[in-house]
Amino acid sequence: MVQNEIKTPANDPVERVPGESYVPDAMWEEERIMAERASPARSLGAYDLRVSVKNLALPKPVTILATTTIRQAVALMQNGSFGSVLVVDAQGVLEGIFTERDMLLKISGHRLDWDKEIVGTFMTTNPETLGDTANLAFVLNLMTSGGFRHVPIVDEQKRPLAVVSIRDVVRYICSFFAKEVENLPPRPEILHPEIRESV
Amino acid sequence: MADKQPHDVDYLPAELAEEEKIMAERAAKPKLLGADSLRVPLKVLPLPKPVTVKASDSIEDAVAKMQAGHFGCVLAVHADGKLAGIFTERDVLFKLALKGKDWKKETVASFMTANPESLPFDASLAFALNMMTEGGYRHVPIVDKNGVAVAICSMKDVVRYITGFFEKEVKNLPPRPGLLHPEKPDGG
Repeated sequence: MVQNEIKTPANDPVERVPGESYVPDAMWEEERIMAERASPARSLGAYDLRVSVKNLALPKPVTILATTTIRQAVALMQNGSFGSVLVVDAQGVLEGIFTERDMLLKISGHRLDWDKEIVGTFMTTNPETLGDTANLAFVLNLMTSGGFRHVPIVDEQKRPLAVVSIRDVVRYICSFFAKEVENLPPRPEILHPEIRESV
Repeated sequence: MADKQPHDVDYLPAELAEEEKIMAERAAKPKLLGADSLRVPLKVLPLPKPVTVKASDSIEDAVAKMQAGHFGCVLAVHADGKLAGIFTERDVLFKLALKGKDWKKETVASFMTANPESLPFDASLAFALNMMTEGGYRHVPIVDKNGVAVAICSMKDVVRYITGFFEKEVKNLPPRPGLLHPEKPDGG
């Protein structure tokens, strides 16, 4: 029903030519890390914020109908470890977003019949969305000015294509600083022995 | 150059003044986020003080506190103020919803993430980012040398800090992406 048109490494794998020699993935990874260490430190510029959301390797959105009961929705989120789901109508058009925040603020501790109450009552209706021509700067704008942690990406009929979460944004930014962020020792004391003295 | 007084405050060579001007300009409008920007200690970020509950508080009380202040995350502390755990809206959804627990009797201690990874204020932003991307944490508690929770660093704080380097690119955008491309009018 809802087509995901955004290519990700997972759904669009690069095909290997049969018979062609290849380097095992582990060696590629090793070489990549060595190349990163050898290369000068990178920086994130304004240009990098103009990356299209299509290039962010976003996960497929999880969608449910507004008539789904709270019990069903919570069970689905628990089983899949989803912190948020998109709510669509029968045509797949986005109607709202239901997140763990709605769960905390509107449902937790309230006396509700979880088999009768539906998601449509508690979701955030008409969330801010972006088209798939938008770039990361727009996502950041919505997240910082609106305080949103999730921005649905929709097609021209407002059907969800993907969701950008603040986690995806942080991951993208960190990818520019693999040397600084990913290859850190487990504790800061190792890099800054002066901290250890004070602990 | 024995007559020069390097520590005399009245003495400021022209090159130095120029240097300072350039540095001030760079500080005011950085166009690039370099690796150095991630080496800043966490104390330079405007991090909020943590909202705390006692680990022995009931789930009902903790959730009421979170609802009242719209806090998605509270830190659970021992009686002496030392960090004991972190309790988030995620725990409410995944560990409490549908589980048939008595929220008046169950305590935060049973459902929080105990002894979460934390950082001192002197640790760099890179460490917080590392914990967020590698560990998958959305919040990193900041503790003092006694292990007392003094602040909390969320993904939102980090993204806001980094976005601050790109005021022009991010803050001054038109409301919709289409308005940036007038060659493709919306038909309106």
